[in-house]
This record gives sequence, C-alpha cells and structure tokens, in this order.
Amino acid sequence: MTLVWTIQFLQFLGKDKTDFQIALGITTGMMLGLVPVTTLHWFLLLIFVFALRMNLLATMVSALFFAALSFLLSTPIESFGFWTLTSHSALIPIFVRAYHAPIIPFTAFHHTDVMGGTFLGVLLFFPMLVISQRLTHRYRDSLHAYWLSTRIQRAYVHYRRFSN
Amino acid sequence: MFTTGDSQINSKKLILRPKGLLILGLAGISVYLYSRFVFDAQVKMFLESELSQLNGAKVNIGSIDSELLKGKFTLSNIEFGNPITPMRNTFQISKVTTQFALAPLFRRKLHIKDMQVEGVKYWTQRQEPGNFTDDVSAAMVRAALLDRASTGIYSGIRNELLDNPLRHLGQLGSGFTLSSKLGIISDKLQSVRHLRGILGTLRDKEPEWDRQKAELPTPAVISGMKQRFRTDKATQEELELKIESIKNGLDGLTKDISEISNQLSGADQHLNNDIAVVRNELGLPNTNHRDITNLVFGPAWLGFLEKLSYWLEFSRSRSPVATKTNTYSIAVYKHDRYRAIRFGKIGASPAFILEQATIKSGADKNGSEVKIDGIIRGINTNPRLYGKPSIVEISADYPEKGFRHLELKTVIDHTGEVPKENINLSIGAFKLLDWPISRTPDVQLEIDKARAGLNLNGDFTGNEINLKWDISLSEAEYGIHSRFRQVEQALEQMLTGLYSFDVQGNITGPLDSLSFESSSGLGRRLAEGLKSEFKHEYEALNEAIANETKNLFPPIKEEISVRLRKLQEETLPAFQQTLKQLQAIQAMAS
Repeated sequence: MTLVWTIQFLQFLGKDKTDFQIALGITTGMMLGLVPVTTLHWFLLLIFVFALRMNLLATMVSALFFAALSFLLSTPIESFGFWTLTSHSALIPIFVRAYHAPIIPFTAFHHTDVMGGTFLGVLLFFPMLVISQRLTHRYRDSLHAYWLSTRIQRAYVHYRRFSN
Repeated sequence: MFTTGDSQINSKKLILRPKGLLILGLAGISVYLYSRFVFDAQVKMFLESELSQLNGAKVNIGSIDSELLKGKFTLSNIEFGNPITPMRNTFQISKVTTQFALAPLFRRKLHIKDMQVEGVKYWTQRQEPGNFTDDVSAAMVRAALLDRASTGIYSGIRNELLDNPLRHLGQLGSGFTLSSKLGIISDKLQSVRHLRGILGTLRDKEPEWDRQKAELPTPAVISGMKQRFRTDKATQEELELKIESIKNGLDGLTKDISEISNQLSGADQHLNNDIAVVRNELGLPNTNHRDITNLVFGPAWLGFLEKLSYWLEFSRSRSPVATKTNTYSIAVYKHDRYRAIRFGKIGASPAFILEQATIKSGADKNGSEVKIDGIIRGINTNPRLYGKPSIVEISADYPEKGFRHLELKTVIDHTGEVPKENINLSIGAFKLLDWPISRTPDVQLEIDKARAGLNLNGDFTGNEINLKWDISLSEAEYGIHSRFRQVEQALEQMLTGLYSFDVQGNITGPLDSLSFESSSGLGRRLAEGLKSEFKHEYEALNEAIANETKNLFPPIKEEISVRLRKLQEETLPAFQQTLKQLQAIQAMAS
C-alpha cells in the first residue's frame, strides 16, 4: 500500500504538467529554496505554490535542490545581501522607509542572508523560467520514458494490474 | 504562450487553482489554533530561556495569559533562581501585567504602555534547584545579573590599591628571605640602575679614550718634531695644533673621571625609594600611610563601581545617544550566519518603549513580600526620538531582613549628544555581614556584622565620573584570624572600642585619570596602630632591604673602579706626559 500511496502522491504532485507549469514549479521552487524560511514572503510564496497551477513535484524537487545550494553558497549569498543593502546610496532611503513601514519588516529584508537569497531569486526568476521551460520542452519525452522504465513505476503498474 | 506540444492538456484551465486557496483557510485555522493552544506555551518557554540566560540561573514562569487583540499579557508567579544557592529564589514576583500597543507590533516595534509588577518576594524556597547542572547550559549562562561587572576599566586605580599593609603582616615577625628576590627585581631598583648607568657610560667612553690615546704622538715622532722644529714652519704649526688637541682631550678626560667619581657616591641616595619599590614588588607591608581606608575598602568599592558601570554601559549601548543629524543612520549587527542592518530613522518611534512600569509590593499581611513602591518611566531604545529621559524611582523596606528606607532615584538622560546619568541611593539601615577588610593567608580581618546606613550620589556625564558616598557603621563586630598570635593580638588591640565609624569616599575625574579618595575612622585607626605596634619590625625590615640592596653594589662598583683606575693610571698619565714633552719643545723655541 505504501508504494501505491507514494506513487499516487507523486502523480498528484505531477498533475499540472504543461511545460510552463513545470517551469513555473521549478522557478518557484528555486525561490523557496533561496529565501530563508520563517520570513513573511517565504510563506506568501508557499501560498502561491498552492494557489497557482504549477507542477508541485517540480516545485518540491527544485526547492530541495536550491535550499541545499543556498546552504553551500551561504557566504557569497550573505555578502551579496550586504552589498545590496549598503552599497547603493539611492536605495537606502527606500530601505529606511521599508524598515519603518508596517508588515514589511516581517520579511526580515534587512538581514543580509534574506536580502541576498531573495534578490538572487528575483534576478534569476525570469531567466530560470525561460530556460527551464525550454529544457522541459526538450527533455520531457525522454525523461518520461526513463520514468516509465524505472523499477518503481513497473512495480506499480504490475501491482495495479493484479489489484484491479 | 508557453504551452506547446502535448502540454495543451491544461491550457484552457485558469492559472489559479481554486482548491489551492483552501490553504489560506487552513492557514487561518492553524493561526487561530496556534495562538489558542500553542502560543502561550511557546512564549513561556522562550521567556524562561531568555530570562534564565539573563539571570544566570533558572527562571520559571508559573503561567502566561496572552490576549493579543486586547494588547494584554499577564505573567504569574515568576521565580528567579539563585546560581549560588540553588534551592533559593533571589526574587519571586507574583504577577506582571503588561498592556502594549497593537499597531507598532506590525512594525516590529514593542510599545509597552503600562506594566504592573505586584508581589515581590525575596529569598524564597524553590521546589527544584535553580542552578544549571549540565555543562552545555552552564557554559552558555552568563554571570548572574547582580554579579556582572565591567572589569578592567578602573585597572589604573585598582593597581594603586594593591598595597594593603595588612598583607604579609605575619611575616614581619618571622622575617623575609630577601636576597634571592632582590636579585630578580634588581632592574627596578634605582640605586642599582644608577650604578649600571655609570658602568654603561664608562664602557661607552672607554674605546674613544683608547683611540685618542693611540693617536698620541710616539716618542720617535716627538723626537723628529724636536729636530725639525727650529727650521720648519709647518712643524711649528703642527705642534701648536697637537698641543691644543691634547689639552682638550686631557680636559675632557679629567672631567669624565671627576664626574664618574662624584656619581659613584650617589647610589645611596636612591635607597629610600628602593625600599618602597622592594616592598611594592614583593608585596611587603608599607606603613607610610596616615589613613588606609583606600587600601582596605577600595577594592570592594571598585567592585561595586565596576558593577554599576556594567549597567551604565548597558544603558548606553541599548539606549544610545544620537550623534548624527542625518535623516537616517545605519548600524550593522553581527549574528551567527548573517548581519542585520538597522536603518534608524529620525522621526520614527523607538523600536522599544516602556512608557511606565509600576511596582507595588508588600500588601500581604504575613510580611513575606518586600515592601516596594516604585515607578519606572520612559525606558526606550532611541532617547533622541523619545525626547524624555528615563527615570527609575524606587522606595523599599524589608524589616524582616533588617533593611529599611531604601530610596533610589536614577535619571538616565541620553536625549542630548552626551550621555548623562544620575543616581541617588540612600538606605536608612541595613545589616552588613562578613565585609572583608583583608583576606590573606597571614591575616583574615573582616567586619563580622554591623548596622549600616548609606548615602550615595553619582553623576556620570560622558567620560566624567563624580561619585560620592558616605556609610555610617555602628555596632561593629570584627572577625580577626591570623596564624601569628602577635599579629592577632595587635589587631585586636587596635580595634578595641571601635564600634562605630563613618566611611566617606569619592571617585572623580575622567575615566582615564580618575582620582579616588576615601577616609574612615577604621582606616586611620589601622594606620596608626600598624605604625605603633609594628614600628620596630618595620624599621628592621627597612634596614634589611637597604642592606640587601647595598649587597648588590660591590660587583658593579668593582668593575667601575677597575675601568676608572685604568683611565686614571694609564690613559691620563699618557696624555699628561705627551703634553709635557710637546710643551717642552715649544718652550725651547721661546
């Protein structure tokens, strides 16, 4: 039964599977991975994940991958955040206003790791969307064929055949 | 526009997933359930952990009742454990009610409008030990609140207070072994340095005199000059120059020999200073004081001042003065994995304000509560924005512990460019127990118990300190213990009849050059007593130091006299003889 539930869960996660939905899933997952948890906009992103039609499996895998990557690159991301927050005199009045505005401080944007991860995510959002959509379009058939050939999928098909 | 190929499946569906919006509803329900059942427990855990770190021992909170929408927060039965006596609470507070403004919370700011502290008890029994027993927690815990101090900032004064004459008092009778110790500190003795200086000068000048001596005309040269002198005009000029040069050399040499000989006798003049140096370096008693209050009470007072300074620095760092007139200021605070940039803004409100807190205690009839009536106003993180100084006014009484009429008024004014703090503390009466005067292996002297009253006034303006205090003691009983019977008897005799006395003191000046003065009946009595009771021992000690110091002279003096003798017996006659021969040639001409 566990296998069936796992496969069904994976199928549920993989329901929305146009190229764009998969690409959007990957890109949003990247944002979720790069932005530190326990910030307001991370939770907003999570709500978007469920509220918009995107491929949840892609989102999940992408989020895990980018979370690991951001952990490995935490030092440069932190420095990038520090540079963003302090090196542009034109931006500082905006940050000052944001710092004293209601709600916005809960994003912890003034923390260098949050600003680094968020800004990097924003910068990469559209390029990642376009690239991942193109890659999805190009490799989805071969990936799907590969998935069908895996033991887990064949075992599931076999089980379904005899269980019906 | 992004959909292609077989991925047309969902192209006509909306980008929104209506069922997914249920997550919002779920989130709302979760928030409600969290705030209803989990929030209070989490806040309790958080506060207990943070307050324990602050307190240096466990802090337990009986219960928490939060009504966030009403901006009300109530803590009940808060126990502040004691790190030294684990089964006792330093304080126990029955109830703390807090009323805070809701809107600033959305700006991550906490504005407490009113706080009421009720039912303060002191030294209550605990159910469980309050100290941290596991190493990890113990390592993370800082010193207890009342034990924190800015150590090191008064090191200049503290070094002056090391010369407590009660140190090594017992050894006065039994004698000191000085010779080996003097050898180690000989570099610090002025008399020895004086002699070494002379020796150094001699060693430096000797090569120069040897060179000049070697350059004196040899007998063959003189004989040649004698023959050429009558006929050769150049030789006459050369002779005059040589005579002049040798005369100058001879004058210099005579002067050096005379100066060195005079300086040799000067070493003894430094002996008195050296006696003080030796005593200080070896921790030997010094009795040149008229009043030893500074030395006796000073370290404890500095300890108190260091504790006061910790809280002063704390208030200055948490409630800093504004030094810039920009519309904003940026500060960087370092954390473990990131840096937090704070964008301070002129015109915004401080991140934390405690508008008013009242402390009311002592209402119970069994007397277990400390009678406290206090008010705290205007604690905030940005005084310039807040525009008003912070004020703490507390009056307290606790007759059960012999503690009466405490009045404390503190004004912390950081609204200007220079931070100013003023503290006025008076205690009508309190019990003074086990107050140390001297705790050394030889002598342990303390005030076992006494009744005391205190008046303290302190002004701190920027780097300037002006702190004055006056303690009056009565019914004083002393604890005197020494392994030397003579010392014990002498101290008992000195302190007989001294039941009451006053201690006055002040510390004034800028932080880098503070002056510390204090006087007391006890300090004067001890100074006089030490002089009279140990007069002969001190004189013998001084003599011993002087003699031992003089014993360091002979090797240096020996080398000086050898070198000096060489100058007097070899170099000087050579100059004189040569000069004589040259002058004889010159005389022949005339």
